[in-house]
Amino acid sequence: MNAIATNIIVDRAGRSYSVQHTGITANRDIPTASVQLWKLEALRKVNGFEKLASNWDGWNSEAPNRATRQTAIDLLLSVPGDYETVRVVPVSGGGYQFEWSIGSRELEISIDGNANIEALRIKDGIPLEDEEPHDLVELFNWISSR
Amino acid sequence: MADLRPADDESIAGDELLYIRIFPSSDALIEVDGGFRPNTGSVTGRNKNEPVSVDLGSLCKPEQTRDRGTNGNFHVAMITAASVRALGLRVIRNPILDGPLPNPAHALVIGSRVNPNDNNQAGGLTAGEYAKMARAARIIINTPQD
Repeated sequence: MNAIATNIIVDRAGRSYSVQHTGITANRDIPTASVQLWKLEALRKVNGFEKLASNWDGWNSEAPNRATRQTAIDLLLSVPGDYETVRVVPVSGGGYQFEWSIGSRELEISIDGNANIEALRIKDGIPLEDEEPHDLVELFNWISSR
Repeated sequence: MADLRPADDESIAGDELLYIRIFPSSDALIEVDGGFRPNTGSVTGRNKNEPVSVDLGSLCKPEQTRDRGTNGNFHVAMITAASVRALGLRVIRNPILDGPLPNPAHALVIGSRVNPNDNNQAGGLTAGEYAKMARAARIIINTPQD
């Protein structure tokens, strides 16, 4: 069994909170039967960005490294609830950005090239930067609530 | 905390168009107002603690932003300097005059992010500032993807 790792989400005000990781690796050994379709699609995109060429963004960025990719995989597998989809894009500097949108609420989670995680809630197009941080369950409870 | 940010360059007119290169991943564009805007991750710079690069529309064409140092397979987003300033951000000229890819149109958008490493403001954008900028930008070159 893999050890449980922890990543810290730091908000704009420097407050931090943690995301627990299962240490599960997304490869052929993953028991994918119990993973929701939207997660499988997101995992496919995350792994696909592994193949980005050097300087893929024209700003000398490399593809996300293994640690960042693993953080992204662990984060996705830790997300509670079921969603139609999540936007996944590579971020310059070797990171990822995940963006969920439900009605007027949006949740954006970024992982930079050093595997640091940041989360941002957006309501009616307005970022809620000064709000108290929440753990992963609370963040997804928030976006799921109407 | 020290504010190390340069002052806004008032010689850049409010109607100056600022071009941003967008990596053409499948989730990068969001339909809005009969067109498209970039998602937040697609406008995020390679180092969140540093300003983000743009090109001044008075000094280059958007096709040059798309093609410079790349294979040309990119979208280009546009936002005006006035819109950037309305978000509380600053714009300064930062021409690249030598090296393999000179770019006299290069400029920087300055944000209010506090670098957690030294507690200074050096021009990086907060997650919320990136989110606002993405929502104010519009795609002006939508490069077809296979």
